[in-house]
Amino acid sequence: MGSAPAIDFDAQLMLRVREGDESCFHTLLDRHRNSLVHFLYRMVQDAGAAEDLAQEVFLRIYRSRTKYEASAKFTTWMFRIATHTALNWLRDEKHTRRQTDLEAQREVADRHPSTEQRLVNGVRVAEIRTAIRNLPEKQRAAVLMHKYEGMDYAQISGALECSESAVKSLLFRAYESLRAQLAHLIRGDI
Amino acid sequence: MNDSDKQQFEQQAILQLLDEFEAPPVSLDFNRRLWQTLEAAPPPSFFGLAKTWLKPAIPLAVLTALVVAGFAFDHHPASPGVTTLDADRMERTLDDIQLLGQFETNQEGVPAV
Repeated sequence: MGSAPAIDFDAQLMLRVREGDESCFHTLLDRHRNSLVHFLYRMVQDAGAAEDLAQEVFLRIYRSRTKYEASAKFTTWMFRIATHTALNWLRDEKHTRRQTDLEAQREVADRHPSTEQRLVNGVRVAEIRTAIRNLPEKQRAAVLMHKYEGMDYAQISGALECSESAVKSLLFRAYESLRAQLAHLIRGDI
Repeated sequence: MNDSDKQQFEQQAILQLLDEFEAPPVSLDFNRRLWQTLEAAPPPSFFGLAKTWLKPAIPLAVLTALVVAGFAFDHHPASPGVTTLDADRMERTLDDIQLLGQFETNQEGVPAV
């Protein structure tokens, strides 16, 4: 005998927010603030922008509370909004220019490394950041959701609005690219 | 180590390497800033909320209207037309009245004995 699919806890909270219970929005905020800001930070690689974008995502969630329907997992919906927000930011010419400026500054800094930057770990992390930044945007979003948020193919496909096979393809190509870029770190060249 | 094992090893190594890319902690005033923005934003309009609440009832209302309309169409009252039976009855009644009238006239015209 079939039963109705269980609504996840976050979706239940969001339904209560829809009914006007603001305390549930506080709970949602506390549960997902860190993971959302960290996802956006790894997407745009700018701490200030990541927080601003996370604020925008929570604002959008709150403003669309009256239209919310628990048709998918809450986190899938949240990461869909977050991905759209991040991709819009990345595609914005102004930010591209700003990011290019940041990269140029980083290159200058690399030529004159500080004590901290000379640390091996710092160099490794910088290379990992660059490798992630070099991934095409959708591949980057897929890897970040898969690796850091522990989302499965179905959830990622919901967030990226594509098929599960497309997600598998995105992840395969992304990990291949990371492996090629970071092969020397795996072999222990640094 | 064959190719498959090598690929698996490298995949594990990549995943471990990605762990090193940590995100900075979130600002302590993140929630306060968000609530400030939310409080500054206008509340949702009455019509917006009413539309949301009434939205699930719309299909039910349409269904009810269709059922009522169907019932009314199927059980409409008979039209007030005149049937053949009524016309015959009326004609007979008028004939009777006329006959009685003639009878009364004849009685009045009969000289008293």
